[in-house]
Amino acid sequence: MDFSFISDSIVTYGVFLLFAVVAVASAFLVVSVRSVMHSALFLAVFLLSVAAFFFIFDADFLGIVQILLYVGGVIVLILFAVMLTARVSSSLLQQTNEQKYSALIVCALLFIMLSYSILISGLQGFENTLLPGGTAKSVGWLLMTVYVLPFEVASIVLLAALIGAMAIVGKKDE
Amino acid sequence: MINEYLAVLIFFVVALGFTIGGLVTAFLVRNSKPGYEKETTYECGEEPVGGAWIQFNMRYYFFAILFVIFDVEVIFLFPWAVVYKELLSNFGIFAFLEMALFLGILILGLVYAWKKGHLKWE
Repeated sequence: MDFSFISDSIVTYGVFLLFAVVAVASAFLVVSVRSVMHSALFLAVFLLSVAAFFFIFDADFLGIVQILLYVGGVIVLILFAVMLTARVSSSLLQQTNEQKYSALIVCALLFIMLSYSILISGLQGFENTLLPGGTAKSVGWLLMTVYVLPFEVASIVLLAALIGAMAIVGKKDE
Repeated sequence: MINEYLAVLIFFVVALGFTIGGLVTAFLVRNSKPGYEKETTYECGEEPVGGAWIQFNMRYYFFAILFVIFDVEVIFLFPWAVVYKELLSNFGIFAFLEMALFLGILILGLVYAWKKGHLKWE
């Protein structure tokens, strides 16, 4: 099989394989460990290895965003949410139920379908092109010109999240 | 590409080796003599009360989500700042107004939370 789309360099290829193993192993642990708390921490490991993929595929801005936002922010939020659950201290919190075998079959089918469609597509449009001035520049330019409306709408989405959090915490008035 | 990040990778490997090496060396050379004092969370600090995995106050969640929201805001500032000079020469004051509107909407939410008294801890 031709994996040259990953990299021509053997070092990059090795690093990719290393983080791929870490990502798959930690993703499996997220759904298989007993404690919800440990699941959340393994999710942080998984998101960090996804950040490593972004660096390997030259998307350094996305890699930084992944670390700052997902590992630094979203994981903190998930940990707080886990801490808010009443049964966090019980280590016997069941994460699986009797449907786990049918879930395994569905996962296997999804894996076969995805890998088949990726492999027959021949990965068109994945040419290894380096953007001039790095990805931050290109992202910034597109965000401020072509996609300026979605960019402004993003702030409204964030505002909605803020108001939603206030509604969850409860009504407070002076 | 990997050459640019080779230094980071070496740093990562050295940091990992330093941590694991320290733990393994300590495991090999130490003698085991456990005691009550040693097994407390802070050997030279306050006596901890109760477990660490307790149910947290709902109020913490609000501050966590506030942090994530302004985290996203800061991340949007970076690509804007990188191309700001080019934007300024092409679109003039709109380059500034685009970001001012983005920040303005979020600051409106912060002011609302402030006015409602959500930022006060009591």
